[in-house]
Amino acid sequence: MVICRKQQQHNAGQQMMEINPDFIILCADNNEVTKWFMYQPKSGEVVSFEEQFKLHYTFLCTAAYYVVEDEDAARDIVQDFFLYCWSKRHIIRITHDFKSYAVRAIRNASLNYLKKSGKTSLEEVAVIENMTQHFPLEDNEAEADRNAALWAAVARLPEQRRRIFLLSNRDGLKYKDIAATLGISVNTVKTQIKLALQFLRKECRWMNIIIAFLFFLKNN
Amino acid sequence: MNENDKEIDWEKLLNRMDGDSAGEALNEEELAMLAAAKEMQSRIGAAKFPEEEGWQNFVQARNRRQARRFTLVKLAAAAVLVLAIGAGLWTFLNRQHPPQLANETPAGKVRLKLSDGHEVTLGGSTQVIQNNGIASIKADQSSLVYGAGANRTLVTAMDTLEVPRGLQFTLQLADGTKVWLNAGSRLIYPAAFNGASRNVYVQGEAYFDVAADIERPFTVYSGKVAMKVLGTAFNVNTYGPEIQTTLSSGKLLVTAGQESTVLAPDEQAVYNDKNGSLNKRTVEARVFTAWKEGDLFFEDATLLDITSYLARNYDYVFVFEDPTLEKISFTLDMRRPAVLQDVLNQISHSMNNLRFRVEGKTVHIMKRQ
Repeated sequence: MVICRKQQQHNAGQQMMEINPDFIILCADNNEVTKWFMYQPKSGEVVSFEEQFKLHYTFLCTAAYYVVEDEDAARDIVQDFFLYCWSKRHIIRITHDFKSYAVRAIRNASLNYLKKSGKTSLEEVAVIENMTQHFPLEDNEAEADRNAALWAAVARLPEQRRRIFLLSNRDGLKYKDIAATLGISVNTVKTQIKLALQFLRKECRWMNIIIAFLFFLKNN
Repeated sequence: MNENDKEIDWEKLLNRMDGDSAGEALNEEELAMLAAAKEMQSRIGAAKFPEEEGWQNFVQARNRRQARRFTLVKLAAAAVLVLAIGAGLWTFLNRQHPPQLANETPAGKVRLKLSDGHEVTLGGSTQVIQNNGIASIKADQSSLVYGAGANRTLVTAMDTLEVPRGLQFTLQLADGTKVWLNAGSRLIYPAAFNGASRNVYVQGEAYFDVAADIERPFTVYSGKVAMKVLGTAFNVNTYGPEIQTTLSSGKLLVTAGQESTVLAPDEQAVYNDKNGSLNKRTVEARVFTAWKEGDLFFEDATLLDITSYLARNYDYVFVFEDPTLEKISFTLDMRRPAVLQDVLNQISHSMNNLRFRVEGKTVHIMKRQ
């Protein structure tokens, strides 16, 4: 595994156990001399904590938001993760792919958040855990392409439908609030959301693959 | 491919997406659509997580963790210092004529002007002001509570609550909405909300914790700004040339003329009356709402900003003998003491180049010689 924790020279052999369980995935001992930096995977170039943060922040929030469906909770989870990394920057050494580590850590923390919230049944958490295998992708370019394709499809929606869809998905308004804001009925809002979802999913063909896979899971 | 949509119970699925999960099981098709919808929501929502803002918040959180320990140590040291200096001053000053202290309580009274022209002074003992078909109104020393009456007719006449400089007051409206009014503020509202909407008007500074009622939107008007509530707690500040609206929780639609913006928690809308602009920024809401918890909380604020707040809050006047002192900035976080002198003590002990001289209700600020 790519994550290694360095033990202090004087107490080598003794595991450090104060690690936040929400974020730890897998640890391996490493007796090399500590390096106080994080590494970029491909180039091996040393990047600062701030660069590392800004490089992955939005992506990680999106991954958390996908699971918890709550903006503030997503921000908190990602911020806590980075605070944790910061507080342990002297003992964590990430030699390989920070993003891969971070995505899994965020995913686990988000799923734990759902379980602890008590609002979501354990079955449902398991289903959501399955879904996270498909989103987000770790390939930056593929992710960017898909985002662009979705936004292009959103732009092709009729104006009122696009407005309602964005008030719901971008601004996070409840159907009732959208209805009150636009002076239309809740049923109209629901119909427009339904039509938008059907259209966008048809336009973004990769989202259809999920059907087969979930189906496959269920049958096994 | 979409013929599978026939398997989808859209009512159930949409309710699930809207957060009304009844815990009903979803079939494969519904799950697949849910996964697609969640993916869309996340991709569309990515704009809510700009990295620069995330980084600023992170830095603040990191510094707060480090600063907290530091402040505690400093406060403890300051307390020891206050005692030592206090004891020293006492013996010293008893020989000279004593300087004045800023210990006066405010002279103004909170006044309620009822829609029929009747006027009541509040702040004394518990009293029942009105009890009729429209509303029951009860008051005690620091709060006023409206209860809905049996009569459901539309009330268009407005009551007015005026809080003078130096005092704070809380009010519960007939619909259960709670309002905290800061010093030098005025709220205009109907005794009962029996119409299709709930409208109130505010000047000065107020914090609203609005009772949710989706059928009757709650709108707060202040000058040209309208704040339409979708079940929310927020702060309005109109003391300065700008109208600041800070959201603590929920969602808020702020409109000013043609401009409008939706606020999320820890966001603030700033309306500039001069050029008609409405801007949104991210803030720490607690800085703007600490007053209603009985705290004085200024983060990296200038002495001019702090003293103009204190002037209103304790009904004093501040005079800068040395204008360069106006720009000194520092952080102040303490319980709001009953008298101004305690705040002055706290400030002069953390800023030892400052001196306050009190004359009646005026405080002169100068450099320590």
